[in-house]
Amino acid sequence: MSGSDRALVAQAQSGERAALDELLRDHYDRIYAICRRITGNNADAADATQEALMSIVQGLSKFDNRAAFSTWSYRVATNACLDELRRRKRLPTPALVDEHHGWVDQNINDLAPAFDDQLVLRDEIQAALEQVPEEFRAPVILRDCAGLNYAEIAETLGIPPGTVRSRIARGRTKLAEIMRTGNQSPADKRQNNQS
Amino acid sequence: MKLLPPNADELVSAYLDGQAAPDEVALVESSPDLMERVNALRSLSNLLGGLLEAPPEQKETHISAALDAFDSLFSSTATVNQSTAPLSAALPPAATEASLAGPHFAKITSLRSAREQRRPRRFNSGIIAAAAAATLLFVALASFGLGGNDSLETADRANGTASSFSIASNDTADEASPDYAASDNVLIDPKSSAASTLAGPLRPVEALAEEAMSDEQDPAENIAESEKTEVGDATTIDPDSHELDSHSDESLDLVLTDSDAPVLLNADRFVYLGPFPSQKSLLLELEPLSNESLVKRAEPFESGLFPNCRQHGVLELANIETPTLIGQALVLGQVVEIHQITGDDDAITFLIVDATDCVVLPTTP
Repeated sequence: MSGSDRALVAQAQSGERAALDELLRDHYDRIYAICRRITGNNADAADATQEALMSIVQGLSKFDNRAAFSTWSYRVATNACLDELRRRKRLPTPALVDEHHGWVDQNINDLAPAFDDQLVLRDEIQAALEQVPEEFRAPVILRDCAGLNYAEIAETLGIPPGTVRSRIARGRTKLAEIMRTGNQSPADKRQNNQS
Repeated sequence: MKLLPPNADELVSAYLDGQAAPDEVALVESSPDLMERVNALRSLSNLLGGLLEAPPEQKETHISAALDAFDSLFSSTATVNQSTAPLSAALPPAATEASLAGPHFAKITSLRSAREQRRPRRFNSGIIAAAAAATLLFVALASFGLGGNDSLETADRANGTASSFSIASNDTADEASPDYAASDNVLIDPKSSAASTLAGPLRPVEALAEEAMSDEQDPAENIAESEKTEVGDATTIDPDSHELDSHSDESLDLVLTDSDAPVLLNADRFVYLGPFPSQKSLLLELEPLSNESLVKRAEPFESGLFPNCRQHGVLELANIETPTLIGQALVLGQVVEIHQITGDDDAITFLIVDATDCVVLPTTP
């Protein structure tokens, strides 16, 4: 936990509104990004983010500093997102990833985006992400979006670190596969649109 | 093309994250193919890690709502009974000195109001009025028309029916079907001692929050005086008690010691089932699930997020030796605990317990 966060948490726990304000602002963008990635749409992400903030406020008095505030808040956010998905019955149900399926031959660098392609690509990666089973998606998001290390992800999701490692690998592999086979590249799309 | 190791995906992924062992690092770096994969994954990872920014006004609204909840949390401390201990007394030993010295943290109820700010209000005032009228009618019948055990039973029915009405009033109108609203399948044996606690007037979930923060007699005070401090309501925990500290590392969910003193539940093992708009929706979620599937979907929750009841302090559960708690949830922003009782015929019954005063809420399964 950063010293800054620790100090802010202590101040917020003792009732300093400004400290909580700063704490929430510091982490809001990351919490929202996690929620956006997990839920897959703005509306659910907004609801989940709101729920997460409320849960953080509600649980702050009992936050015991055993984990970093960021880890704890991302964990709360992840739970809020999964709850949101359950509540709205929007869990995608893709086929499970094969245990030992092959690597994606096409280099993802082939998709190296021009600036004007980035927005499209961002949508595509989100669409692809939604096809990755939740059990693999959440660790990937917590790693690549929240920047948590394996131990923190393990703590957040309540799974062993070794499982985190394999799930992230499988999630990324699945994601790359979907990006390669399931989504057209922006260049292809442009070409198709022109023709 | 060189033959790659079977766990190449995992090797590359771990290498990218800096989580590979030294021999794995050496293996990856010695292989151009693997390094190519690393670069490919890095591109993907960077794309994924790009922040998806929320609209600024949404950010302000969310933070503002959270701060409002924080304010209400602290403003409520003024109304907390001074004879009660702060919830911070129930903090784990690792809690900071600042948090222990902080003011009372009471339950907040602004989660629901925050939701309502974002969503169309779905209250049907007509249904609420009907619920109130029906409740009064039942209470009146119970008070004047009946006596003895019948009186208790009728009062219980009134309570159960009122509960279902209050649930319906918080759901969409189409959920408030007469069949559902008329259901009075109260879980509590009306002839048990618990009936005297439960056979009170309508206590909608929302009212519990106000009761918890008022100086008026807590429903839990109906429990024998000797058990008073054993009720799981965190506001009744003896501030001088070190019971929590002494047991916080135990792996048991709940045990009854030789001295019959209750041991607090280990919050590390709680299962958070999420927020629900009503008791009905919570029960609907629970009922199709077997115990096994509940365990499977269990997500370890950050320790100590919520106060919790002790099984010993819940009248209906006090005589059950096996742990009954399966999780916690939020119903309309109210923290509740879900306890599961397995009958002699293996029938499963869920009890929803108000986590504020550890009183079983009348339910209509």
